[in-house]
Amino acid sequence: MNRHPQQLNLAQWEERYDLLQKEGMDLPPYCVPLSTRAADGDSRLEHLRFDESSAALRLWNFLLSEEQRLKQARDHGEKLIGTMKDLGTIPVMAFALDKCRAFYPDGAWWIPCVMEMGAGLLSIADQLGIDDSFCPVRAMLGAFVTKAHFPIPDLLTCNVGAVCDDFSAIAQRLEGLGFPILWWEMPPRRAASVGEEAVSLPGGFETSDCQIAMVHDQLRRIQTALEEVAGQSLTEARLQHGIRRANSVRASLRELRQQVYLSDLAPLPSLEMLIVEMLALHFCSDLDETINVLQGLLQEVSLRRQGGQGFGKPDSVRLYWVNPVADLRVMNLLEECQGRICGTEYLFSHALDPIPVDRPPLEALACMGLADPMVGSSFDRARRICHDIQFFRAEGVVISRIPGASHCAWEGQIIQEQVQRRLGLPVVEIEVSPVTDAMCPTLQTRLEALVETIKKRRKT
Amino acid sequence: MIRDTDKKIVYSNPFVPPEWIAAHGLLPCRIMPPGEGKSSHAGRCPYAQAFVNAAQVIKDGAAVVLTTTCDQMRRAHDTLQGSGLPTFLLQVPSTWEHNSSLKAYNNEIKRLGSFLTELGGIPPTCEQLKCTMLDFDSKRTQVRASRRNIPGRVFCELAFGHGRGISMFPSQGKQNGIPIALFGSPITAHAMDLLDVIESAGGRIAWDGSESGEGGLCRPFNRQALAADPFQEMVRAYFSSIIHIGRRPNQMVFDWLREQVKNTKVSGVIFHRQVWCDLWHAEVARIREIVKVPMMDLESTGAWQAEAPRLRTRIEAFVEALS
Repeated sequence: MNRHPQQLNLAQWEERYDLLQKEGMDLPPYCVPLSTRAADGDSRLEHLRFDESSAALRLWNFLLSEEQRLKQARDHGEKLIGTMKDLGTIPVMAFALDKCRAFYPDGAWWIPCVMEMGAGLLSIADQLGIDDSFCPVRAMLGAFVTKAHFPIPDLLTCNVGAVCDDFSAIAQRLEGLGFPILWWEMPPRRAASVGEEAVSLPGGFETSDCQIAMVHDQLRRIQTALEEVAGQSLTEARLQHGIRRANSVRASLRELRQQVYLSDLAPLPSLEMLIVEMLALHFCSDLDETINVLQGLLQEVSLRRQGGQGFGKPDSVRLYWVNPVADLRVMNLLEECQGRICGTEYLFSHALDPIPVDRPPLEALACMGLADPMVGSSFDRARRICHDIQFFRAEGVVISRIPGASHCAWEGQIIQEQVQRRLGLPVVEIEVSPVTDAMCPTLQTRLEALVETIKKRRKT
Repeated sequence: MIRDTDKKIVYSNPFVPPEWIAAHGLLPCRIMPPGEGKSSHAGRCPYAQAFVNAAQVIKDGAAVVLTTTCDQMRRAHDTLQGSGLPTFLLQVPSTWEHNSSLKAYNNEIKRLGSFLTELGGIPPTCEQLKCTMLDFDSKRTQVRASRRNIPGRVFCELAFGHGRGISMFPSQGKQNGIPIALFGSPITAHAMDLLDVIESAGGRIAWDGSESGEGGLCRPFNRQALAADPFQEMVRAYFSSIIHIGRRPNQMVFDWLREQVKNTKVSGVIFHRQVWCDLWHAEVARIREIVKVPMMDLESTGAWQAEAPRLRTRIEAFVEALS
């Protein structure tokens, strides 16, 4: 391929799909033209632009077919574990069992965007008293009530303690509607006190042996519950195997991030990279296929890099993005503003770090849980962000607020101050709602202003 | 016994035991933040912001203790770091059904003790702790007994301060009026005006289930348990008896509420919450179902001076409707 890859709209993808089929594109049966997905209700796809590769097509179909996958799993007698507010810990345990898979009910937060409010999930949340002063994850309530987006899981777990208030409140409301929840506690990460042993965590944070012991106990309760539901023993050997598989996903993700974010030209667009990173959380309910999807993307990226091909221009401004966006369209918008993402902290950078293999598995998972940037102070998170900014050579930072999220109200200021103090980089804070069409001009102006600021700085 | 009255340990949350601070010879200083002043950022709970504002300017403060009972206060702790005062974040587990949660709280109170010692406090002996606990317990009992005989604002101030600094409890005779309950978020000092408004409109605060009122007081200590192991009794009383909407699961809050409404036969409930307080906001519908008496949902933005006329009108209308 001599030309640079293109981003296609839905109509253009129809033609591309036909072409790829004629060329003998080999994709799993769940892969269909994206227009089919749009016609089925995922209407936001009509307003997005996509990477043109078959690897990207597989990625999109993998994401958008999760509902069917979960229904099929239920029909085949598999046990489904809904792991709420859990950014990458319990899914590793669940997938270590046979005929058991984890999914992330919180992921319903994207349904209002993808279906452009067509599913009515936010209206249901409104009727239940959870209005738009709460985070868009309130769509999850609607998803449980309608039962239209995923089967009701056999076990529903929820992490509480050092978590955001809105999710805690929404999950409690869910329990109040009659959905039993196994609550497990995450303490706020802190350094070791006198008399405690300091423990280094993946990602550069520190904690104490007491805190690891506490989370370990919590995971043991989860283990017992999983064993009861699955009717199997979650042995240490199984857990270790599960950790190795999770680590292979994480290694592929890290490799992909480095290849994409460190390249002069982005070999994969920001939107596809956002979707890819989400796979770290619960493997989109299929760990084996996650590995295949990532391998396909790595091959595509590698080819493009070898050919010096990519998206945008060599002088596209390199931006570090903090927090995931509720509206996928904003990732396209950023590139329209001549920015590109070079580094991210989507609330779960710890889910990209390798799970330690030199510890007993439950203890290793406890370490990973405590390594969650959201569990410690905003200063800790800012430190990790600054480290990554330097690694990925970002020139500026976008802090994307999630409407109604309790943490965004406080930490944005701290992160901004730390980035400016430590690195002297410009920062802009924006708020992204599930459908940003009305706000697009405002967001565009703010992003363009950041891009222009950075380009001027380059000259000086 | 308090030995160093200069060293104020500033806090607000009911899960911080003031007797533990006092037993270390330091001065527990529970503050009800003023609630006006530096404006809040969008999305920030006005109470949490007001507490940060107040803690940053407090005179003679030796340290600030915050808790994890809500994410807003947990994040407020971050904002206070670097303010010049040492800060301590007390983990109060959200889960409560397993012994591990009580054990975690137990360890946290001990850790708080180490922090107090670093500030110059002296670890109390068992006997010293017991005496301090009995003193606080007796004051709380007097506070509770005075409910019927003092105006709502006075009671709230007494309850918030665990009856400290009072040698003789005031009595203004049996308070009359339509019995109304208060429930919900803690209130700021300025917003205590709403208690006066309720009473001037003909209501009487029968009980206050918020963190600022009776809801934030632990149960009376069990004397036998206190004699045997005062520290454990203090931990158990605080962790297990203070109701908090952030508990997971929080069914015990609704069980308590149901019993209170049934036993006290209130005519109405004023549910007060801070804007952006998700934990309380999410439960409005459930609370309304449980109380089965007229309920007013009162949202406070923290700009009390601006919103007072609106809230006054609503409260007066509500009380009038109950009569």
